[in-house]
Amino acid sequence: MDKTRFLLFTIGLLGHFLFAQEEPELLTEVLIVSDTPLRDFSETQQVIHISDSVLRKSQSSLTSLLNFNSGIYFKENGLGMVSSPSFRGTTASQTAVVWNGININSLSTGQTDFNTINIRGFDNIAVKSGGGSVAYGSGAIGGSVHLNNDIKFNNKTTQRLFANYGSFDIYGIDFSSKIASDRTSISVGLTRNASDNDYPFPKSERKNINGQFYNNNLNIALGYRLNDNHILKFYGNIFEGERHFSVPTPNAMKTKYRDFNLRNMAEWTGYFGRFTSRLKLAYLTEEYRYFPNIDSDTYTFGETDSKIVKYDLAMDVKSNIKVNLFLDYSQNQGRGSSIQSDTRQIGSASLMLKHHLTSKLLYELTLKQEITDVYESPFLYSLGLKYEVSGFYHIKTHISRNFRIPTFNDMYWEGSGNPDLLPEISNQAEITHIFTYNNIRLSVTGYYNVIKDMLRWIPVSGSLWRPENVDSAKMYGLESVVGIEKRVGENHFQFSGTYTYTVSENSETGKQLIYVPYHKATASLSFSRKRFTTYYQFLYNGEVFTTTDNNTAQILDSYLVSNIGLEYDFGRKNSYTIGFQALNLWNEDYQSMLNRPMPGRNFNIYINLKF
Amino acid sequence: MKNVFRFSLMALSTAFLFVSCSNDDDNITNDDDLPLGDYENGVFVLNEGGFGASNASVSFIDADGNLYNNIYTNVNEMALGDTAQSIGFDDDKAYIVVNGSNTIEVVNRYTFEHITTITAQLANPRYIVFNNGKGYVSNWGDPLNPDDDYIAVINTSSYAVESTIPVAEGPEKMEKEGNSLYVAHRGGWGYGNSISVISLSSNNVTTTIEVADIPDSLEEENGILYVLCKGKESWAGEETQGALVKINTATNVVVESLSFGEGVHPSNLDIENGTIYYTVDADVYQKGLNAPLPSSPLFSVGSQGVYGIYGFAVEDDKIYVGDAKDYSSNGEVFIYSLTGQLQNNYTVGVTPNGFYFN
Repeated sequence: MDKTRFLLFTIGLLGHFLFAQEEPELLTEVLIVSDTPLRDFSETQQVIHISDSVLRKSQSSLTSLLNFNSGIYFKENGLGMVSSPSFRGTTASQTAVVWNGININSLSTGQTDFNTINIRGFDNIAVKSGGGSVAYGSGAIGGSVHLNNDIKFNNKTTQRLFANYGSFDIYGIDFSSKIASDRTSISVGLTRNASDNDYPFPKSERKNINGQFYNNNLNIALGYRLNDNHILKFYGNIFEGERHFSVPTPNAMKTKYRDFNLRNMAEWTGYFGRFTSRLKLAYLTEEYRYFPNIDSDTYTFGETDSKIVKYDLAMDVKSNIKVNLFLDYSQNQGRGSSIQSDTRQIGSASLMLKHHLTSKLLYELTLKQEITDVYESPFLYSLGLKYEVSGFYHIKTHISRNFRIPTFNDMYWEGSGNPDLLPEISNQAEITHIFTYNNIRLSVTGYYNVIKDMLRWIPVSGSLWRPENVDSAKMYGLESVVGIEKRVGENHFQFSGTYTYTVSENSETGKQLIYVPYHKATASLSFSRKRFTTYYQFLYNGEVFTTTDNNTAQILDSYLVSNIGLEYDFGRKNSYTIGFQALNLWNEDYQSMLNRPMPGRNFNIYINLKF
Repeated sequence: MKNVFRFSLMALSTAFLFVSCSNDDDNITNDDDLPLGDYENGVFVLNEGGFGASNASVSFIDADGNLYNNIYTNVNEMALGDTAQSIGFDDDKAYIVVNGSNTIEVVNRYTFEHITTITAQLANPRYIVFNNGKGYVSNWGDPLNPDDDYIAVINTSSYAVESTIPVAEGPEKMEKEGNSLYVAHRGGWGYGNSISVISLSSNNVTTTIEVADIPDSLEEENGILYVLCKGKESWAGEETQGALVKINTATNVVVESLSFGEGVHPSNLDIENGTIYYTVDADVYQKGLNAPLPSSPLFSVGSQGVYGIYGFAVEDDKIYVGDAKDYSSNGEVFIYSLTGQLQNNYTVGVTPNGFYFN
């Protein structure tokens, strides 16, 4: 432990010189995005945009990417198994995952399993800290994760083939093709990942049994420019995967789980002088099948679908004032082995405003009210301020009220669903200091978040478990994102890092919530010279409690995991890269979930061809 | 703490070699006979642990009231497994049935030293009882298949499963009486309402006796098998009443059935010194063998902040209550006198579900 503490301390210091891309990318006219609130109304919060080069160096799951590149803690039931986030100390359903502007958290569970998102299909991924329920709806409390596909009318045609192979017979193939004229843009990506996943447990005789998995993923983004003022777009995503769930003990009954998720969205954008009008129609389905015994064909299942109509009208009132009105209607249906078939309808209206008071001072205001007969929906808002004190120092502050609505399971589970639940409500405030000096950038955010009416399944009588609005919790902490980028001749250095300190307490007991580490740090260092790039990534997670009484005998120890990689670009006109990685270089024996060991040192080779 | 305990255990085992009891850790008995082991005299508390968390454990409270947590792991330096359901004693051995792990860990009941692990032909094992060199283990089988449930018959010399006896869905607790094994079909993942009678000479189901819904616990006393049925709770769809059903074990016929009122769902039958004990939520009830159902409880554990009664037993004029709290923190054991006076309480492992007396 002393070694780890020392390392953490060193990392903490180092971290303050690390680099991260923090501001949104520059948007050229030819790039069309669908997640406009992220582009237009997120200046007063912290957003980390994860660059393409980082995406390519990461393993394919969203868990792995964000574990090493954000302050989010993940509980993973062994590599590739069920994975849930804790963002700023919140629960698994208090992080919103947003696909091209649409919240895709499961309607059944309220959360996203981060191992059912394949990052290879997306052009860019961003992590926004803090509340965002006005723009992103239920669950945007700890923060939100944004998966975006770009549509570009740039007259370019590119293909990419990425393939990797590694220990435990893991392999991945990703082929994508982008064909664009100045009127048409077609982008298609196909991905497959699979692994036997039978890794030996470090420092143990045992190995991972029944952990094999595969998933297939198709992404489509189409754009067609009717004329200068009208664009039609379509986004599609199909994810299909099967995971055998690795057994917690060697002789336990073997189970498996299938996911099938379909996401479609069509959009018509019209530009009328100062106005931009967007009409979106979306249809999303999610389906799971759980086989409690792989030797049998019987399973339990759950299915939901949602039909969404969104209309928004943005107006540049003056050069320094932007207003955007949103109307939203969604109809959700769910059914399953233990869910009575049910339908719910939710409508909402929201308003967003960005106003540059001076060239150095701006504020953003967002307001939202839902209308539904399913639960009592609170008025939501956010107000943020950004002030450029000097070229060297910026300050941001943000307050917001956010919510997480009861899920289909909470409300309609046969026999124990509770139709009288309230949404969880989060009130939060934060302040961010940003220091920029040459190529060094440091941001430090302090936040405070109070969540009331937390939804928990609790035993109410005899053997009956029911969801109730019982607990309240307060979370506060520090988040820092730091980095540096430097070029000296042919040498190119990049450092990026995050450090978070998180206190997340049950208000009644004063105990830290389970699986929330006080400390987490990540860092990555990359060095390129001519055709060679080498990089080192690491992750430190502090110890976590696994019992609600914070019993010290059942703590999961802190751990430090490092990856190292080397790649060489042998392309002449195009970029043809071949790379090699050693993951968990120091063979750390670690668990993010009690008694679910993760792999020790393992290896991976990859090629990345762009042509 | 753990190291101190491990050290004291080592010190103790050394002490055995020299037959001296100089350790001041009062957890061995002062019998004149050679002690059989550290755990010869006291009560084991089985902590089932969180489902999937593989943190089941055993605690021990010795005759002097000292608590030792996590004894299985401390003695054997290995984990017990995932979701321990029950313990059965056979001669000098204890069989720990670990439901989630599909294993039975066999240990010496006095030293808790591991002897063997039974893994074959177990599928969601629940309880074990013994007769004449054989252990009978109730198994739920595949969760979604109501027709594959069985009793596994284990040879206690070879620890091998010799045969299996197919039974109706959800076999749970069992009681041996004479040459018959009575199996309560609590229902597994569904809802049962019967008792299977298995002949111990032929290992066949000879009779099925219908009782009320969800037979939770059963015990034989003076030729009568008492079966406490919980009844279906409102969330099961159609609520049914709980009942205490009496079966004559000579004829296997129901001789009396006492119905509990609407919304009362009893569990945890234990008969001690001719008195019946059971619980409803946080209340402990007591009645004579032939008395009508009492209208008011003997006492309620609610005033101790006990969330609900999970584990329960009555032994030697003491009532033992295991409180699982929120099922994700360490549980607590409360020991009461027969009049409901709290005598002691202990913080044990996660989800204490049963008490086993040495």
